[in-house]
Amino acid sequence: MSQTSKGLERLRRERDYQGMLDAIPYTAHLGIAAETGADGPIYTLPPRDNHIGNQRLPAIHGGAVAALMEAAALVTVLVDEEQDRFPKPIDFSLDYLRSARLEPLHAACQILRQGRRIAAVRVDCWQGGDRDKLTATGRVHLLLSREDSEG
Amino acid sequence: MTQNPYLAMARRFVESIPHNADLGIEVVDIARGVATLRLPGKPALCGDPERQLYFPSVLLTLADAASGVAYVSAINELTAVATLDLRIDYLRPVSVEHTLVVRAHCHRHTREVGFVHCDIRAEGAEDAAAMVTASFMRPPAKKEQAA
Repeated sequence: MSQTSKGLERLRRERDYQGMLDAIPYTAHLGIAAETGADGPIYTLPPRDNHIGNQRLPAIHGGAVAALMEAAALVTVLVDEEQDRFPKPIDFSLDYLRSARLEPLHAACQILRQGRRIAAVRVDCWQGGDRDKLTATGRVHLLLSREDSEG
Repeated sequence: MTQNPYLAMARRFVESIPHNADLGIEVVDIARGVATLRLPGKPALCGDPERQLYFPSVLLTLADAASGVAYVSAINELTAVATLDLRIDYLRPVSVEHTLVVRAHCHRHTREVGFVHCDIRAEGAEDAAAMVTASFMRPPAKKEQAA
């Protein structure tokens, strides 16, 4: 199934975070899901053996943790900021605070600053019921598209 | 050319990690404190279906794997290490038609921490697609170290 910008626009209009994740091959591959919470969408990476980075613990690979966080930032900005195209990532800085157990991993983001061209997004990641006990925290800068004409 | 005895072991270590294997990360070469890994592109790694670009954090995952093994090779142990923090600058997007190559260099290491820098390129390209800085922690030794 190939997604055109028309498809993206429909998903954005319908605020279909899940549809957007399903339309991106890599987030679909990882099985990332979105649910709408009180303060915006919550994204979840399901525990799968393919996500393991340390077999002894076992723990989820730092790269899979980062993918969940980046997907949260990209999709939230894409939908909430009414972007026609995928925002371009500029940089991503993250701190790993504890190892991610092989359990569902959640992420939510907060748009710290939204300028005309750049968005700064904070992403927090946690497991279990205690949202303050962070697994990882990070910050993503995204370059927005503000094209009136077709790009 | 002398065969690097560490290489075969390190290759098994890196490529047996399930998430590395899921993406298809391969070890090219490892010397003390320096690791080169590659990742052939495939449709599942795509983040922008319109333009066929890698999902950005695929580069981060490759860098994390390379940086970790650069640190463990610097301390000359094949042990899992924990990433403390990592920063990636996305210099230019790469099409999934290209293979990614990362070269990680551990600039300083102690038994507790390591500091690593890496560059990622599309295979054959001169300009870097991403730059990464990361720090690592070696987990406390368990009883296996006693003997």
